[in-house]
Amino acid sequence: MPRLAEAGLEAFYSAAVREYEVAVECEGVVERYLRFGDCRVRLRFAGGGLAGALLPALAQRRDDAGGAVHATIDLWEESACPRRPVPFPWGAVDIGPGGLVRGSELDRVVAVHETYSGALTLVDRAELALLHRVPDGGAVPWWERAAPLRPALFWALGGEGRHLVHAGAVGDDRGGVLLAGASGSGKTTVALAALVHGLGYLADDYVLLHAAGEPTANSIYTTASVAGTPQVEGKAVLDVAVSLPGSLRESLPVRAVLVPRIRGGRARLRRASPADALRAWAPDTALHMPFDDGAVVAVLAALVRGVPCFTLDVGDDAGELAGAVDQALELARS
Amino acid sequence: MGATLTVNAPHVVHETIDGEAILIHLVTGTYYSLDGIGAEVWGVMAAGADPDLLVAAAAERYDGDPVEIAGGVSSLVEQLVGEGLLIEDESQPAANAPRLPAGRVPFAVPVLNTYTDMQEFMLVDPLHEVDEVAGWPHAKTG
Repeated sequence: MPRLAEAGLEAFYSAAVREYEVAVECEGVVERYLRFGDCRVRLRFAGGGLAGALLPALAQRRDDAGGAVHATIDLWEESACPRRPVPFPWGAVDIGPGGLVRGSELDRVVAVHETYSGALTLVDRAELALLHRVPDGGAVPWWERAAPLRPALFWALGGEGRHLVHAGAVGDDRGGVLLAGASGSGKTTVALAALVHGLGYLADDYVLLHAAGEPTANSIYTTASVAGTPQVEGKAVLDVAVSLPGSLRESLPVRAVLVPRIRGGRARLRRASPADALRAWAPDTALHMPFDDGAVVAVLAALVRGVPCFTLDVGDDAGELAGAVDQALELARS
Repeated sequence: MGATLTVNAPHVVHETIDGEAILIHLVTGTYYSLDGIGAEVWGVMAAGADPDLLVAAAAERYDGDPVEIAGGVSSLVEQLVGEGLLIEDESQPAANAPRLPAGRVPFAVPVLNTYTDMQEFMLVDPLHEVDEVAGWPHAKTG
């Protein structure tokens, strides 16, 4: 079990702010505004290199129309610092699930350190001011480019009924279907099948769920990460904004929750109990982004109580999968 | 037993829906489900019931061999403690009497269903390496 960080999170945050300011002095600042539902977020990059790595998946969220800023994220690369960057002072025993470094309950700052990539996110929870540092913008892993800034957006967008959840989402004017389940369960397969058969696309992996009032899914990223094949190394990242821009949906009311399971053969849609859906979805979401002590679980429970839930045996025929999503939307309407 | 038991918050989060309790241990990555009698026992224990009074309350609630009932519910509570879902906490107020639902139902030994499929994912991020081909959250193999 991780211990509470002994080194001061707030002191480290202050040092990181100074490091960011030096990076801006060296590189200049590139400012971008993004909108997610009713939240407008300001991103201030020190230099343009990191913006080039992180913004493509968020390009559709760009918002130059003005308005109040909900949260600010300051971003820079360690390589932009003329001085040695402030070293990360905590070790493995301090780091909890998801890379979370937690201080006492009274600490206003939390940190998330992604050991593999070296990315660091610091959050001043009182001010909704966030810092995001990466070692090198040119070395950001492909999966971070496909779905960047997850920890930062978790805090920047969370609260007041909003939750970043692990789910895909597709739909049309009838509403949206959330695709809930662990990595590898078939969310992307179903989302892309629905996309190519004419349904609107919001996400294959992460959505912003606005659960206050009518539950609404808001798109965050426009990418879809397609499983690799022997001919294609790694996952191919499809940017729907480039490939099928007319299919993008920014938000849809949630009409159903669908839990895909890779089975092969014929697709089969079945009613599921709320408990079945919650068991498939809640642990995955709570453990994917374990930054809110599982508070999201109650939100997901309320959602699956309120809309019909289904399981979908993911077969080999994309048309059948799209048909199953369409059927779920129809059943949800009846 | 005799100690005050409480849910191991904030490391454990739980929700009961349709008579099924779903418990998630956010540190170990293991999650659990309990239905029927197991969910009832979890419900009263999560509400701060005195484990010493649980056997007597179970004997009133459930039809069956008293020895089997006592053994079944005690074993479940021991499992819940062993898995770190319930912890002893002397700072909590005195435990209360278990309030199991009214009426009598046949006893069946409660089973704590345990799911560990998310544990690898917990280890991958951030302390272990990621498979560069499959990407996060898949662990490097070999």
